[in-house]
Amino acid sequence: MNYLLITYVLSIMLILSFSLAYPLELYPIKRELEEKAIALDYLAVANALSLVSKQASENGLTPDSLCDLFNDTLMDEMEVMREYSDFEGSVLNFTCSWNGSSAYARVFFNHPWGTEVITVFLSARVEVIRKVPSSLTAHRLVIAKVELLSDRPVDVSFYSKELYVLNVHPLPDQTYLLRLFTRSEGDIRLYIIDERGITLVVTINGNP
Amino acid sequence: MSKRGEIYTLDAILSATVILLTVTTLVSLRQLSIATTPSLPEEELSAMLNDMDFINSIYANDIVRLRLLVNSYVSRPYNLTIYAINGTKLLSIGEPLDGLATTAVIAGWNGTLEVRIVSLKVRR
Repeated sequence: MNYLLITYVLSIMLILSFSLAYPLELYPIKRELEEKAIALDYLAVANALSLVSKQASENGLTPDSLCDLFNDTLMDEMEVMREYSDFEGSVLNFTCSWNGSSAYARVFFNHPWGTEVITVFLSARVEVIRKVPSSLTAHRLVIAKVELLSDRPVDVSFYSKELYVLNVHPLPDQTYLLRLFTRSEGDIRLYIIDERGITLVVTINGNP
Repeated sequence: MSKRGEIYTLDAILSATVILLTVTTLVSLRQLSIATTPSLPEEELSAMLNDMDFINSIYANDIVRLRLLVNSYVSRPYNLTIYAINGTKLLSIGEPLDGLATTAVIAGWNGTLEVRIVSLKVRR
């Protein structure tokens, strides 16, 4: 049994020297969480819709060129995300629209675990409550109620090139009471921009 | 062969087998690479990416607001660093930490195509 004892000692020495010389290699595998991929999908769609709505509100776009711009932006975003991260999503199909008082986009993303649908929209309904012409000055006061509908609660800001003073009073449920003082005759173009950058333009009849 | 000789032979065969088994096992282990899934703050980063305030603060380089937001999502020591697409470090909050980071690439925001790479490390 002498050989066997010596062999055991040799084996233990072999194992020790081997483990010191070649420690086990551990390869970390990064697992992308679905929630993170969905959040990045949402940001990409919101940004593309923001870009499209800004262009449309400034320059006006036909429905075809609007969808082309949306598609190009979304493809650029996907390419960047795939190139610089382990993002594995791709766009299957989409619909988008912008008509001044409403911006809407729905995109179907393909991921390794299945299809995700991302919907981003913002729409506004404006109701003029009261128009008060001033007999002393050239200013006119227009009181309007703006009701917003969006896929998630968002902060918004209002501005207009024709307005002299703008007073915004928030009400519950994404509703705002606006006091618009204007000098100009005719319609007021009111810009509504949410925190994602999605821009709407609604026209308010400012005539008495 | 005497009985003593038989015992020696058996002993030698057993020893050779043990040595052979040891060497074979060690060589097989050398070829193995063990995959591990590191504990990364993916959930925290996912929650923050759903917060529009967080995204707006990144693009506004608002360190004060970012610190407030991240503190509300992460309860342990962390490091959040934002890079531009060319690798320039734009801002960093928290404390320097070693180890693996979870990252996210934001392709643009507010109608721009300015890329931001968000890297978050949390001490486990």
